[in-house]
Amino acid sequence: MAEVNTPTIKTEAQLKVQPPKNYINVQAETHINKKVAQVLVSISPKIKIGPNLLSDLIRKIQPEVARDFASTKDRNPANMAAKILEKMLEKTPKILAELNNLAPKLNTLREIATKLQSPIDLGQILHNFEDLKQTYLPKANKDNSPKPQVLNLNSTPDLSQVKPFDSFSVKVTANLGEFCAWIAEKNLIDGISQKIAEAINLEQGLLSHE
Amino acid sequence: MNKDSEKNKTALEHAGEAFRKFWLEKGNAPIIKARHAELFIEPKVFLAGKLNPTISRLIIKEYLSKITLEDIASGRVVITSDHIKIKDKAGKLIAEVKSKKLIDSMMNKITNYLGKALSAKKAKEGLPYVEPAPEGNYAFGDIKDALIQFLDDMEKNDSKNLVRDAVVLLKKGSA
Repeated sequence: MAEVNTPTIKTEAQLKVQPPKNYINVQAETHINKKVAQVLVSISPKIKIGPNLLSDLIRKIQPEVARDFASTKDRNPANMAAKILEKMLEKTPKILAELNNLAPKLNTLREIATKLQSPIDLGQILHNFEDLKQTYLPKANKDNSPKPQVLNLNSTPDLSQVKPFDSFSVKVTANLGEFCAWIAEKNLIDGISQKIAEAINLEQGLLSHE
Repeated sequence: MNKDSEKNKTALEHAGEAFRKFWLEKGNAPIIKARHAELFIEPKVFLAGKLNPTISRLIIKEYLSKITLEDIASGRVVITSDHIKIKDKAGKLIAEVKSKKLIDSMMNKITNYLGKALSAKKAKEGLPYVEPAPEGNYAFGDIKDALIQFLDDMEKNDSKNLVRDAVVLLKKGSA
């Protein structure tokens, strides 16, 4: 039997995949899991979905995406990513809302990626499927869901309306060393001590040396 | 991991590990159960050189769940209806919270404390500032007038932060 490769993905978030229990059935499926997860994880930071929503998404879309991939035998990463993004847009009102905020100024999903200033991943993922807009939007317009307004390309640009989601409305203003010193003072996390905080300050060159 | 590599870690790496461990313990780390695999998702600790906001939010939440009246009275935690400001012992701003959910939950806590304390205090007319609530749950709207009255009676009518000043005075009174 061929060697079992435990897939390990490191992108914006880290994923650890446990070894499959049944190798023979698993290889194709973990491949899909891995791909789905990988794309989602790489997209997630800039469209502001946290790990909980991310795991929900993976659960929700994985079976459908897996079915689609199995039927088309399409393993082109750009197509897979397009399919995954399309499913995400269908399943996640939060992302729709975010896109809705950005949409007036934008013409294509690719531009959305740029506007979101994603790390290379999202830009790269979207790079090859300009046509996703054409394939996705008409379909969205036929639905009864609130999707029709998602990409309203003709309205006046107003990016001032874009607000971070509530879950990100905690802003740490201190630098990392100061924040760690405060954590140590409050004894909030084991392993973060005043010594560590001072060393971080030194590493970052933040302490003045008289 | 051998002792040498443990020793050679930078302070940042040590901190990273501590943050990661904290998130795993307190962050309800999700496990995705696929048919033949399980995926554990951990946020990356540092994003573009900054602490991942998911983690910093969790730390702030943890702290807010533990704050004492001392923290409010000393001004290290300033709670208003718009924001919560957290300062270190030197008075430097550490974090600002604008999450409505967090603010509301803190306001509820402090309102219940103030309500209880004001219901135990008698105004000049001999009646308590606030009627005791059956289960100790007060709404800020219900106690706001009493709070202003209390501060007036204490000759603190220039208050810029009702909550803090009331906590200070009530704490003094109960000491």
